[in-house]
Amino acid sequence: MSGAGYLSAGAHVPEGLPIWRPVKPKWPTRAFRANVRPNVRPLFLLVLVAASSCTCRPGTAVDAGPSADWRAGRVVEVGGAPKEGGALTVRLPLEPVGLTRLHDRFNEGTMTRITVGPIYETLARVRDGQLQPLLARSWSESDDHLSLSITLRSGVTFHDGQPLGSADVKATLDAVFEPKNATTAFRGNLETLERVETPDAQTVIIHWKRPYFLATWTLLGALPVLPAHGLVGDFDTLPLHRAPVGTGPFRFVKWEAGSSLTYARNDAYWGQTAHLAQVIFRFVKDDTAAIAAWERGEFDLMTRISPAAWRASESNPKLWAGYQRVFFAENTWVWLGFNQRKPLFADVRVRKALGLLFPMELVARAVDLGLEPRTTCPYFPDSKSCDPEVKPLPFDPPAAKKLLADAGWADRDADGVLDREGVKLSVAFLASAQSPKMAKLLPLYLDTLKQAGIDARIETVDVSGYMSRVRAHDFDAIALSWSTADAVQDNFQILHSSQAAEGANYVGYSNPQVDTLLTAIRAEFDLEKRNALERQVHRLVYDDQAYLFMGRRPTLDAFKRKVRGLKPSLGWYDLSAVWIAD
Amino acid sequence: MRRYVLRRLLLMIPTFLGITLLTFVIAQLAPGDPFQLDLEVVGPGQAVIDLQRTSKGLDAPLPLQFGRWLSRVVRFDFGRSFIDQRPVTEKLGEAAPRTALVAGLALVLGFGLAVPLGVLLATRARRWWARVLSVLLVAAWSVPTFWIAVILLMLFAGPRYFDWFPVQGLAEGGFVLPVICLTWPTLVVATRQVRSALEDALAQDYVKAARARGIPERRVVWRHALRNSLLPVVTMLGLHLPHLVGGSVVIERIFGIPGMGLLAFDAIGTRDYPTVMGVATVMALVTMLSMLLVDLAYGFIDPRIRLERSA
Repeated sequence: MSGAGYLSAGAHVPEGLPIWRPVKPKWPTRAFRANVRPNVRPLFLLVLVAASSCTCRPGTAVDAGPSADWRAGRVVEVGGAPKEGGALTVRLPLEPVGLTRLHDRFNEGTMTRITVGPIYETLARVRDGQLQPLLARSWSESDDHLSLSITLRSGVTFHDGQPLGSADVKATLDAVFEPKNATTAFRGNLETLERVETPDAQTVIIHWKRPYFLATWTLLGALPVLPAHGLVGDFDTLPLHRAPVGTGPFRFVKWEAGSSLTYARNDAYWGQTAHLAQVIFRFVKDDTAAIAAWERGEFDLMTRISPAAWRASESNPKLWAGYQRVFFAENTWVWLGFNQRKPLFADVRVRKALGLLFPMELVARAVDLGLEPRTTCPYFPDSKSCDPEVKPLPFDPPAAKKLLADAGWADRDADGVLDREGVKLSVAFLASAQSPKMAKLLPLYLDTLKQAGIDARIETVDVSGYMSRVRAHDFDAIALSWSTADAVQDNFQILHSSQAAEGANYVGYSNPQVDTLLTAIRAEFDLEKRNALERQVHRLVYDDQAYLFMGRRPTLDAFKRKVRGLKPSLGWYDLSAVWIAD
Repeated sequence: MRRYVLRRLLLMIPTFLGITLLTFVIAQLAPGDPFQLDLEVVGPGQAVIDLQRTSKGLDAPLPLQFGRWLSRVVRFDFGRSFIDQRPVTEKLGEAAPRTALVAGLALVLGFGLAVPLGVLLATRARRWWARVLSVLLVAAWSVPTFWIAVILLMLFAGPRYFDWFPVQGLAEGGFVLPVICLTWPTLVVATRQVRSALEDALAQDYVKAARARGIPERRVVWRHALRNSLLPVVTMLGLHLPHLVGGSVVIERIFGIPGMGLLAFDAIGTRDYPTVMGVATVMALVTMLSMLLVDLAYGFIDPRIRLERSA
């Protein structure tokens, strides 16, 4: 989903196995050395030196160990003629709530995207940042970007044999725009839609109220087309959400609640049929169990490996031999945000000081195990939306102290805590109890804050209570992550000052210059020009420290070496190209 | 006797109301509501949340909500889950048998082994192996179940040591490891209970009298002493039953058994009130029934209790 995106309360680093560390060589005691005869000593030392150089990297000294590609999680493509048939077993860490992306509550991000992906199709697909025809054979836009005429591909049928027509596109949009339906994620992106015309069975004409690049992009590239005959009745309890009927290369077979989900190849697919005969998603929540099953070879594709297990797998030769690892930095940014509605955090000097006090390197090493690339950008860093010139703030307590002093904060009553006009400088971090990442990270940050004279503490609540507090703006500081499955996105909802009251600008950021740019971006259909505006937003937002940007969440997966054609991408893997070698 | 059972059954009604009312209020008191978790970003968010709350009847005053819930429950309608929109009865129907299988096996195994083991420890208390076993029982008591689960999983499932059992689910013998985990604490506690109760009983005068009359030791222990020492054990069993039926979140999660424990846990976390209430209702019923069964069992074990009641 582009633009809007998903929000998770930062609960994505589960606890797991201990980290593997090389053993330090033990030096002989003085008593031992005294007993060694002089002529033996040089030899002994030599052996010791040789041994210690070995013990630093026991894995590499004994045998070749995993390759550099394996370590880095780069997928090595193996060619060959695709083989038909076979089943792909995929581990999922969560069970999707429902199999549709329209419903907000079912649309909880990655799990839904992964499981719905092979079933439903969009009008166009995103390839290399461009829209290419899929269910739509072609489309044309008026010069003022106010109407869009779409011609559907003919001969496409749903998995139940019903033909795809313009009525299905209209019914899907009607479901999105029915006010009582919980479909706000799509409704938000498509809010500029004025009306839909269906002059004949293969043609859909969309009229927009005003030009908005993301609406066109979402309608063509993100909105799945559901069958009109399946959308009849109460939207919350549609059978379609439990047993989806789409047009994609795979069709739904069965869903065993709590354990697995099975798809089979759609032999009547309108395009190139898939190679795999079956795809089985197995829900294994517990990390320890998932790793045991992975080592046992039960998964062809192991998803969501915890950072600790990822590191532990580096000392397991079975896993080097049997699997390829996938490391892919998603379009996600994890952030800490300060409530800028409060005078303390409205002061940019204070926000900068808090940024300078964040021990990023320590966190990257100790919490993220070196697996979350740092970002400074609210857009996809691997695109042209980000300015590579923006440098992340260093960890620099003296500079932070100076900024705080400039802002008038000093320890006047000598109690170790900075104060100004009789008010102490204090920050309460609201943390979700289900976020082990925050449980590890915040104490490290609190340490440096306390040393700098800031009275910092953690307030832990459960996820539901957390979101209530965030929406009510009842917090000093929060941690969340924004993610989308597309490089094309619109950050209006999280950065524009108009979204601070009720929208997703939870931190209450406000900068008129950024507001102007964000409004201009919405009406800019030219990618190059839009990227130039986005780079300006990037610079301003980072300079304002609107958010304390942390890392980008990576995809940490592994698949069996006999699985071919798996390519990581922002929209997960395209299973229709996957096949299993002998 | 029949009148007694009837009175007990009627007493269950106010107890049931009390338990469910309390659960209802506590669940609603927790901050947040299910629709806060629709983590969408866009503008009309709050308006839709309000609409959803209205359509699920969450805007009504609490007493009215509870009344509505009760009136549906007496018709065996627990409503639909707020989260995946499936009927709660369907979800309970899936989860309960899994938990019942594992918990039932654990209960039978736990108490089935605890009685002979307890008897052995009580009658051979001075032997060296009995002492070692007693110490081991204390040690075993202090080992957390989740640790046992992880160790068992590592040892007996997966390729590292013995690849005997599947890692996840109940099929293909997958129930063995979770049953061991759940049996463990039951066995340890029940064994200690049987032993101490039997030791007390064996010191009683009537045991001495029985022995003096020349009744064989085996008969003294198993017929005279044990029967009298079973009362506290049966009480424990009654209290243990709902505990097992409630399921163990940890065990169910580690072994991938989507039973009652996980259902309740997830429902509480997502403020899925209909499911929370469904689980609470089942738990309340099982608890009350098992207490009734325990009271009835007293009568069979100890004739004195029977006599007092009929008098």
